[in-house]
Amino acid sequence: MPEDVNAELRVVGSCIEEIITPSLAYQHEKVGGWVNSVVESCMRALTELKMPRKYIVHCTVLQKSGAGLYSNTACYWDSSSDGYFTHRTENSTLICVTTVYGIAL
Amino acid sequence: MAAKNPTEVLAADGQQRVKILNPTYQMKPREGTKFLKRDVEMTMSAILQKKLQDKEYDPAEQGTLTKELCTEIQTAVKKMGYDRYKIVIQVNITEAKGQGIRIASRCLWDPDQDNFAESVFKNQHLWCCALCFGCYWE
Repeated sequence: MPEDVNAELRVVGSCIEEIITPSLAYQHEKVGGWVNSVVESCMRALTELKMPRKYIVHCTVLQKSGAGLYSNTACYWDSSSDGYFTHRTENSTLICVTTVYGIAL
Repeated sequence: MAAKNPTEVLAADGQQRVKILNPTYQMKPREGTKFLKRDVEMTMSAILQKKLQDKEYDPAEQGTLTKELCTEIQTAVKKMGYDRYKIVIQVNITEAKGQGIRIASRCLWDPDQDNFAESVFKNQHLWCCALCFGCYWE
């Protein structure tokens, strides 16, 4: 995992907190729009950092109903230059898990 | 694309040799080694079908099951021979309890060379989504 990921962590965290607020209630018709806004705003913020990396931003929003969710990742890359981080946020009705993969050029 | 630094390697006769790699000036994947969405999707669907058919959601074993699925899909995609591609696999399994779920991705990459493949498996107990992203390494 490269060392200089603090900037990316910060911008992605702030983008997500703006959209997935603690008072947001899960609504089936609107969740598509929320997820799209999360990934698009994160991507825009990451692009502005102008790092020599390719990014993949992946977001999952799950309604809280007592069901479990397992998520796993396997990567075939160069671990000294490529890495990922996960940002998790939740409120009383939903869970939002966002993973950002950064792959060096 | 920078040239690799000289590295010390141990040759067969026990002597230390210095290996210098020259740049290949290769900007695109070679013929027949481009990441093909359709082939990877077929491979992933077959693996999901084989491993998850008639499986029930058991919280205790889902952790190991997702790890095994990730490793199997990774091995299978590596064997497909996509040279110079970095592969990222993500597998999500959730119980089918009538809840809503929405998954989305956005990527900042070269659309001519990089691509992704997805496969969804569903039975009455669980729902599984596998994603495979392939990024060309210049």
